[in-house]
Amino acid sequence: MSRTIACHECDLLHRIGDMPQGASARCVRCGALLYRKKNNSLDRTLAFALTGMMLFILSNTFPFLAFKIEAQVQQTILLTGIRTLFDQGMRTVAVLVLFTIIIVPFLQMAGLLYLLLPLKFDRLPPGLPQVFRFVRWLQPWSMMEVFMLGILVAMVKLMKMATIVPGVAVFSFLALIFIIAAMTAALDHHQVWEKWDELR
Amino acid sequence: MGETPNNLPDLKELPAAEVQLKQRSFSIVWVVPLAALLIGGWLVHKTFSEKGPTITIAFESAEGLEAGKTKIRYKDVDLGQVTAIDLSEDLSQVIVTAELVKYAEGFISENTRFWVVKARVAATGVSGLGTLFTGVFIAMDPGKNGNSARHFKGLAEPPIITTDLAGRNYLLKAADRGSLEIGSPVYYRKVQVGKVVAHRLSDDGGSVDIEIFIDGPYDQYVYENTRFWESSGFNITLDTEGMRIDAQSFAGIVIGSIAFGLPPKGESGPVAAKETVFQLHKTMEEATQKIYEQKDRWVLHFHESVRGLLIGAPVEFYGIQVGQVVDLWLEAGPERSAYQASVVIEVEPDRAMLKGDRLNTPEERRKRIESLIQSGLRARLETGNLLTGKKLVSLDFYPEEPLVVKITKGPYPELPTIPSPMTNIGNKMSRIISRVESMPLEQIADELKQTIQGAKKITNSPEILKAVRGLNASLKEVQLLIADLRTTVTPEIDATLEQAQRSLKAAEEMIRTDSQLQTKLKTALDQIAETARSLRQLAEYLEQHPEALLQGKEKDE
Repeated sequence: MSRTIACHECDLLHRIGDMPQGASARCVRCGALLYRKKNNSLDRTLAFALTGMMLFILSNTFPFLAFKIEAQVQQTILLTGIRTLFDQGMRTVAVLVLFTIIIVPFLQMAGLLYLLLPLKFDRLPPGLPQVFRFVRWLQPWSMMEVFMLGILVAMVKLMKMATIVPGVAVFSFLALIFIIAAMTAALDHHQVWEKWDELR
Repeated sequence: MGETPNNLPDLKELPAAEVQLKQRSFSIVWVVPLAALLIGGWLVHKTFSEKGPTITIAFESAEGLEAGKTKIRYKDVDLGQVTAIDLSEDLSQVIVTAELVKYAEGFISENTRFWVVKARVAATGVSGLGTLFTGVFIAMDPGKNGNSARHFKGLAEPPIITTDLAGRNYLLKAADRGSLEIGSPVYYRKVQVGKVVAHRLSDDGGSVDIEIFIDGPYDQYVYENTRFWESSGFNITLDTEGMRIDAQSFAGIVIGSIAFGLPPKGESGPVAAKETVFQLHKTMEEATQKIYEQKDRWVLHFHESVRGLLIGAPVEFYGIQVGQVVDLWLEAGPERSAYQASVVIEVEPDRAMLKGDRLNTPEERRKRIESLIQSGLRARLETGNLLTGKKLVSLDFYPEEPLVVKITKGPYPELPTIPSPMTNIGNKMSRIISRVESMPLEQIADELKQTIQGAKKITNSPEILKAVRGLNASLKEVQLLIADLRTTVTPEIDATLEQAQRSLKAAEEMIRTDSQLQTKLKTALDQIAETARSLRQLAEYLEQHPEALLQGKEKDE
C-alpha cells in the first residue's frame, strides 16, 4: 500500500509506504512530523482499558464525597448522587449524567477489551467491525471531564456551608478521566483494521 | 497531511521519506494497569480489613434514626454507623443494623448496652440538647468483658450507671416503690452520692427490689449495718408526738429520694460488699430505731372505744416505748358484754435494761409477765395527743384493781386491761347524776312555796301597819334630838377631830414604804400570791387529770 502525504508545514508531497510499529515519517524538507505509526498502539490501548476498568470499579464502589455539617455526615457514592437527582425530579438530567459518565465510559472500555484482548492473542472477535464502529461512535458521548468540572464548581460553592471530605472515588475518577483520554489517544484505528485484514 | 492524488507531476522524482525505526523494548505501558491493580487491590483490602463487626440492635422505635447517617458513639467518639433500619418479622420492634469500626470488635460483648441519645427533660435535669442540632445518635456502653455478641437489645432510657463509673450497687428491699423513680437521688448527710438504677417487683411479688448505685468514693460509707430510708418529698407524720413535716430537695420532692446513715450510737461495721441487700425503711425514725430481735405478742381486750388507736401506735411502760400495736379488731358475741375490741401488741423486752438474768426463751418471759400481772400489771388506753386524738397503750401497775382471769383463746396470751381514765370519769359522772336525779326535788319546791306564802301573810297584816306609824313618830323625835345636838355638841366634836388628825399623822409615818410594818406586809402578800399560784397549778392539774380527785396524783412518768 502506497499513499502520498503532504507536509502540513511546507506542503511538500511525500510518498509513504508501509511503516513498522512505532515508526514516524518526517518531512525531508522541514523535518516536521508527517505521520507516526503509533507505537504499540493496541497493547497500550488494551493496558489503558484494563486500568480504566479497575478505576471504574473503584469509582463506583468507594465513597465519592462526604458532606459534613456539624456532626451530620452525608456520604455519597456516584450512583447515589444520580439517584438523588432522579428522586428530586430532574430525571432527564439524571439519565443524561448516568449515560455520559457511567454507561458510555463503561461500554467504551468493555468494547475495547472485547476487541483487543482476542486480537492480542491473534484471534478474531466476532462482529469486530460493528463493535469497533460502535465504540468509535460512543467516543463523543463520554463526558466525564465535564462532570468533574461540574463537581469542582459545586464543591467550591458548598465549601462555605459544609466541610467536604473527598473520598477515594474522587481520585480514582480523576485518574479515570486521564486514563480514558490516554486510551483514546493511544488507539490507532488503522492498526485495528490492519489486524482485522490480517486475521480474516 | 495534504494528500494530492490528482495532478501528480512525477512521483518517481519525489524523494523517499526517511524512515526511523524505533527500538523495541518491553512495553512500559503495562506498568499502568499493574499500578492501578495494586492501588485498587490495596484499597479494597484496606476497606475490608477495616470493616468492623456488623451488629443489630432492637429498639422499640426508630424515632430520629436514619440509615447512613446516625452514628454510634462512645464518649462522643464515632464507633460506627447505622446502615439499615428494618422492622422485625412480627412488627413489634425496629431492627437497626450498624457497622462498627474494626477496633470496636475488641470491646463489644454481651454486656454492651446501646441507647438512643436525644433531648430529654426530666425532673433531674435536661440532657442531650446537642442532639437537637446534630440529630440523634446511638450511644453505647461497652460493659464488662463477656461473651462475644452481635445482636443487642437497645435500652429505652439511658442507663444511670456506665462501666467507667466507679462505685458499687446495692439492693434495697422495700414494701412498696413509694415515689421513687429511676434516677432518684440517694443522699448521705444530704449530699447526693448515688442514684436509683432500677426498681422491680421481687420474684415472689412480696416486695419491691430497688437497685441503687453509690458513686465512688462515697461507697466506702456504706457499711454492713447502714440503714436506708426513703426520704421522699414531703413527709407529714401525725402520731402521738404531734405533727412533723420533713421536706427534701426539689428533685427529691418530685421524684423521691433515698437517704442512708448509721443507726444512732451505731459503730460502723465493715464496708458493705457490692450487691449487698438492705432493707429500705419508710422513714428515718423507723430506720434508725434499734432493732430488737425478741418480740412477744400479747392480746388486750378493751370494753370501750379504741378510736384513735392505730396499728403502729406505741405501747408504753412507765412512759417509755416498749412495743407497738400490731393488730386490732372487733370481737362480737351474742351478749352485750361479749363485744370487745381486741388489740394485739408486740412488746420488745430487750428495750428494758434488765437487771439480772436475761430471759431468753419466750416461756420464761411469759412466766415473768404473768407474775407481773399477778402484782397488778394492767394495760390501759391513754390519749397520747389531745390535738389529734391519737391513743396509745399504757402499761402500769394497779395493784388495787381486781384480776379478772379470762380464758385465753387464740394464739396470744392475754394481758388484762383496765378502763381508760376518761371512761372512769364518765362512769363516776353518771353515778353523780343519778344521785342528783334521785333527790326529792318536787317536795323541796313545795315546802319553799309554803314558806314564801307565810311571809307574804305576815307583811300584809294590820299589826305591821301600826308598827310603821309608831316608827314614824319616833323618827320625828329623833330629828328634834339631832337639832339639839348640833348646837351643843359640835364644838366638842371639833376638838375631837383635831386630836384624830394628830393620830392619823402618826399612823402615816408608820405605813411609809420603808417602814418595818410595810416590809412585813409585803412579805405576807408575796406568800399569799405564791399560795394562789400553787392553787392554780393544782386546779390546772385537776383539769387535765380529773381522776386525780379520785385516785390521787399519779407518780411522775
